[in-house]
Amino acid sequence: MEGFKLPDRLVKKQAERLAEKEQKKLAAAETTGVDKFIQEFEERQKIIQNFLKDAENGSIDSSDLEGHFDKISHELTHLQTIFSHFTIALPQFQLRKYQAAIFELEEKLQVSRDKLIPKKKFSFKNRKPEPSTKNVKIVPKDEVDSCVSAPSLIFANECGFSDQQNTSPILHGTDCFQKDVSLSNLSNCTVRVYGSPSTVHITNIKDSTILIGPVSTSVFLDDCSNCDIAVACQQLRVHSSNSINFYIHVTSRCIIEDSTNIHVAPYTWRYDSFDEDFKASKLDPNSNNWNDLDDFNWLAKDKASPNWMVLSEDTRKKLE
Amino acid sequence: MGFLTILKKMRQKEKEMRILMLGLDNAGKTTLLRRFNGEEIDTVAPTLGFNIKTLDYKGFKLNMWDVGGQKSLRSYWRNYFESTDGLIWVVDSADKRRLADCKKELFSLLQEERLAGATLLVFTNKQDLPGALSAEEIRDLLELPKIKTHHWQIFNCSAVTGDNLLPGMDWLVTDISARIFTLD
Repeated sequence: MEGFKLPDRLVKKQAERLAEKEQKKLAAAETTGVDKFIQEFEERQKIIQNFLKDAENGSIDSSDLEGHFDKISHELTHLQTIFSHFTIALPQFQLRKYQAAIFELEEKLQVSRDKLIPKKKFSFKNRKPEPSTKNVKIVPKDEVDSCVSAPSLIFANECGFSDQQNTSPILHGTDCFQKDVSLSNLSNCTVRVYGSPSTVHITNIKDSTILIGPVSTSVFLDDCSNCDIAVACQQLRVHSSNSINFYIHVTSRCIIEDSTNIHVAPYTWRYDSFDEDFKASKLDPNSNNWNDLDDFNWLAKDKASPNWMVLSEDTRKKLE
Repeated sequence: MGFLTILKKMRQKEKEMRILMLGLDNAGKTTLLRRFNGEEIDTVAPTLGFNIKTLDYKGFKLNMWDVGGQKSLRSYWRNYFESTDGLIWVVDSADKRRLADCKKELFSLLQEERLAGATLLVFTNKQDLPGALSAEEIRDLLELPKIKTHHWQIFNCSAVTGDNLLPGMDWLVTDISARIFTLD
């Protein structure tokens, strides 16, 4: 029985729908009448056509054109509304006729509007500054600027020597305690740094002897050659250097990178206040990994790096 | 339910975040990681390769990747970018001479497509050192306000003393969770 109910209901619904449609048609015909609609449609159509003509033949002031076209499109919208109300009551032929009439008016409006009011060019006037900020994202110039913009701030905590030849400069403990020591561009020099600096940077040093007291953190070496270097520190980082004899006390680790012919020996430099400075640096005197280097260019673990070796005892110098 | 929602739900179930720690060598990445994990830091040596630690933090499982920062290792960083939720950029605040390098490396990272969705936390480490620059100074020198592509924040910290590590991590975890987990 259930199977029959559904078609029954559908048939009933279809009948209702048809009746409703019929009623609407009647109502529309009765209240205003198709004839009345046709009359109104054609009147409004004529008004719009005249408006369009006014615009075309230049009888409208150019400053009022915008408003005039707005009025036309408003009229057109109204015409469409009337038309859609009557679509249900109109025979097919008339339906198509008025649809085409509306379409024609719309097209005319569009054409003459385009012709008489030039389209504004599409632009991002307000957003103009944006590309410039994008461009400066990673310009090298800015990096330089960032570094020179506040030199006093940056290097206030530094001391050291640079650009010297055949000299023997000395830094005392009071000068470099907890400071960053920088040694650069030296050749044929003997540098002595007593005391315990925070960090030491050694850059571009040739044929020299560098003796440094206990450094509380790291020592960086970059671009050096043919030197004897004595240093006690937590970490020693050696970059792009060759033929260096190190006398080191390293509590953590020494690493080399892009470096060759590096020799290592234990730290033997001593001076008067050495023990006090060692205490001040907080380095562990019992932990010294002087003979255990990591070579970042030699990642094979089963074979020793050819870039460094222990300095044989008979070639070690006495450091003073 | 959209595809994104499904993805979010899946991630939520795991409650996992992948966090990548990068920075120049000697910035203190390994020390930071060890400090987070409550391990001793005296024996920290320059990282030849990488360290991974999994931490439980505020109900999340953080997979922390610490990759060595030596120049010769930086070309390998790209191998660790995939599915990174958070990037911790560690700066040695006392290493003024290499701030330009630091900035260059950071900005080239931010151009990486695979890091596009990652939250950026900048730690200005080594605040315990006398010559350390402050977070504000480093923010300006690195020109961080120019970063428009990532959520970022900068925090002072000292991995050695443990100072101020948690506020930074709190911010990072909150920002990531707001982004990748649904709030239901």
